[in-house]
Amino acid sequence: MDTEHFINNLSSQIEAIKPKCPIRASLKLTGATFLYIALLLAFFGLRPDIINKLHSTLFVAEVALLAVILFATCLAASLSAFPDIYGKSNWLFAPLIAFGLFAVILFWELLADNPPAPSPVHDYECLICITLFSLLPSLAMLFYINGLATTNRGLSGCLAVLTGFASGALALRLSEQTDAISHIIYWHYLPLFVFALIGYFLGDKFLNK
Amino acid sequence: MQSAIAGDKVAYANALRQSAILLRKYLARKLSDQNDLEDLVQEILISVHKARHTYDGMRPYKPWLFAIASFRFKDYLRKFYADRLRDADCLDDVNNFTYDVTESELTYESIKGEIDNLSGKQPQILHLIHSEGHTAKEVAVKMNMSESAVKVAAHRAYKILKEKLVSK
Repeated sequence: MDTEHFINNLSSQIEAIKPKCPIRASLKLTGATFLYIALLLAFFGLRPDIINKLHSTLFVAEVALLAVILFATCLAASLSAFPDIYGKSNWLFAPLIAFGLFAVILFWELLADNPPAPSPVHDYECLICITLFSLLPSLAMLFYINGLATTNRGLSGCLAVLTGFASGALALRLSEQTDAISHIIYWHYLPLFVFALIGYFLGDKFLNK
Repeated sequence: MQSAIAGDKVAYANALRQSAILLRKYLARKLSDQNDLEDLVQEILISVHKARHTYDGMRPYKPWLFAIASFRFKDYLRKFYADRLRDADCLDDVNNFTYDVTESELTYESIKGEIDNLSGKQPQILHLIHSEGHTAKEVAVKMNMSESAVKVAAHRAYKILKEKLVSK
């Protein structure tokens, strides 16, 4: 079929559409994720010492930064799902900045953990919990991105799964009574690199095919 | 494109036509095959059509279009090279069909009759080189010729022999 004929065919099929806005979508998705976290916390319960912990500046900063990471990754994932990054490619650095600040806070907490808090009796169970908690938001994000037109499949997948990871980590941090920072770093936060790789692979394999 | 988003079919067709012109220019620098180029232009236009809900008409159109074009072009290259790899022969299979190019069925003895029919010094030169194993330099000394004259004579003899043998 020649291109002129082809164009006529395509144009005869169109109807008015409502363009998507990644900022509005990411606000909605973040809202839905916070609701999901609230439901998880309602089911599993908040940590018993939450009132005391809310007086700890470092704990509040850590939780707040997890929330910021959640929003930043969600926004970046939504933007990356647009072919031209919605003309805001610089915003893709937002998660990096949030992760950088988060690393600083964790380092600070590590220094402040003196004498070290007793380690919990479990270890990898936390990672399993985070993985299970993050499944639904990760899949929802991947599904949303798949409905758009990403030209950065790996990056979109990576950011989508990191959004899920942030929600799982936030839910667990608010529900599990653990203060051993080395345990938290090893079993709660370092696996984020594995999550990012899995997300990259999933995105590259399945998005926008 | 803004009118196209609102559902204006004529405006949309015009936008696609303009896009096709831009895409042809962009792809002409990358693809030499005209059929492949037109196929790819159509593929990109389909992607533009499917992704039109990600363009709001408020942002520049070209970065959006070329992001899709570049993405589809990379996809095309990936498929192209994957197909070439699929069609390529496996090295093990190739080994079954190879033969030793250093071994020829043609020997000096097998075409001696043809060589003897050559004119002038050519039969003697070929005899010395191929039967007795002399170098061109040694033949030149033996026949009181220059080395280059021996090489030229041998080359002409090979050419005549080749023509005779091919015509047979």
